Amino acid sequence: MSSLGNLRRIKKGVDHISNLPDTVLCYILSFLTTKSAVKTSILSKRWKHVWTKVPALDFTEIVNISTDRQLSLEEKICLKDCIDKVLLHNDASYVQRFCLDVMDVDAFYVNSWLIAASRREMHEINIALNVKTLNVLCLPPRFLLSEKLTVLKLQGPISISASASFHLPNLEIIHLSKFKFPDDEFMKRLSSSCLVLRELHIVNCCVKATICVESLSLKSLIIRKTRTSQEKVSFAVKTPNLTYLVLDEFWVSVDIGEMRSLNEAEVNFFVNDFQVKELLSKVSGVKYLHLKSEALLTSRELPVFPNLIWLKCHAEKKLSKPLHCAPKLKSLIILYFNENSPFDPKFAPERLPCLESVEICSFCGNEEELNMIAYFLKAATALKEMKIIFDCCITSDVTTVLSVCQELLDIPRSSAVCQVKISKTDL
Amino acid sequence: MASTSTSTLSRKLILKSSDGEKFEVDENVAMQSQTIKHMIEDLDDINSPIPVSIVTGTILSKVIEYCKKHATEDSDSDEQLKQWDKEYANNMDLNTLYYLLLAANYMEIKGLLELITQCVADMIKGKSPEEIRAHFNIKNDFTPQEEANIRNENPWAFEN
Repeated sequence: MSSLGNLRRIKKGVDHISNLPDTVLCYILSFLTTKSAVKTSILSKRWKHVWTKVPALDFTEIVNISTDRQLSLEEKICLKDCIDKVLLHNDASYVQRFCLDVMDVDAFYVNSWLIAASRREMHEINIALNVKTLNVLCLPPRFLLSEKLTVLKLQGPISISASASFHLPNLEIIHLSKFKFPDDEFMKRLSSSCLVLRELHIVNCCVKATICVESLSLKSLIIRKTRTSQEKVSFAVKTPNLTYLVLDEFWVSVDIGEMRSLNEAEVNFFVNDFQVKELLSKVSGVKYLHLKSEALLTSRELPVFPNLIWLKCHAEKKLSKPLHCAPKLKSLIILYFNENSPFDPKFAPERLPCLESVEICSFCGNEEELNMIAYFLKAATALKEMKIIFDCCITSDVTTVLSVCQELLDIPRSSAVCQVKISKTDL
Repeated sequence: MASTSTSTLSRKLILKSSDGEKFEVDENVAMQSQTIKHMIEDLDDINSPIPVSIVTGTILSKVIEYCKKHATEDSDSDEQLKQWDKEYANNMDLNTLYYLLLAANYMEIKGLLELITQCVADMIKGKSPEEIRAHFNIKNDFTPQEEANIRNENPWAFEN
């Protein structure tokens, strides 16, 4: 009874939040950007200094930046003034989150902020620099000697001294984007020294010639679109416990160790035939596979994928190969149909007894595509769903759409439970 | 209520709220509170009620509801658990959230503390100082001059 009475009284206007202990208030504000935290200094006297103890430095959203606009001189001064001031006044000795997302600011300033920030013990670091200058920002060495650091995300022209040593015993996640590798040894030293590393993303990074990843703990590895001045990049990957791999590169040479726990992979690259076979045999244990490049499909031989249940790829002449090599395939997603080298059912397996769903993206309604659909409806005796997504090139003409739909629905199906679903591309 | 227990191995503890209400809970439910964990270690007789001195029965029952959900290792996926957390927090009024915060802080239940602080942070997010004051009944005790001074100290924080 009395608690109900309390509730009414409170609803009339008791200020509870201001009565919370400092630690709890700071914890609440640590989920917000530093700008929002500083804004609370004006609420009342109780709140005036709370922000100075908040264990988070999140310098995002300081100036409203609409896409790709250059900052005015005033805005630059404002940004600098604000970050300087916060770093001076906030005296939290440990920081859950340090986020810096700046564009068009002198690297000299950024460097001074990083040095000021690195005096604190940090758990998560997320730095994104969108600067126009060619200067590469060198990360203060202290960042790499962080006992408590668990997440490190760096984006932009940032590098690390080649002679830097690492002590990152709790680092679990590394995302590098547009980062510049100081030398070819860097990634090997970093990945092998982080003993609890789980996730490594290397996207759009600049390397000399080689990326070498060695880790016993690594579960997830993404390498995309590496830039180099050499003709091709070579990869050496020794990650025996990997479960997820993305390798999206052109003109590479690869040396990949065993990955017996691999569950899902996305691969796309042009290498010679021998290497394709070598690489695919290393990922052949996967359940989920996204084969991005036609080059892979055109390779002469494919290994057997005994566990593969989900495949995403293009439809072209050699699609019959992975169909032969994946006896347990349940779901197939066809991203696009190659008209220049169309899929020919003649070479495909006569029966696909495990296949339960087929999805055809960007269907244009030509003869060969209809043949392919007819093939799947006939060969897949357990098919439950055939999903066809019409491309926008066909959907504008209503009469064609209607006649094609009728044609699709008239194709005989060998599975009694199969449903054909037709939709159009969402734009 | 509490007699629906499935495991006979788990020991039972009795928690006593500040207003004398008693709750029988499985040990693994109660142990999510670091404070209780430490209290048990010092306790000779675990059959005597453990006082949770600053938490009322109404709030303690909500804390236990959270701990029970997070103690069971059943088939709930992370996604389902998150959804449950979200609904749990959304069903609380501001008053209850405040007492839950104090309870989670005092009882040192990391997950619950994070859930509720995040929930309060979301209430602050995107609001002007005036709106925040109105939402939480915060009385502005600055003089207009003092308020102007604070705005001038960090003008960037008050721009939209």
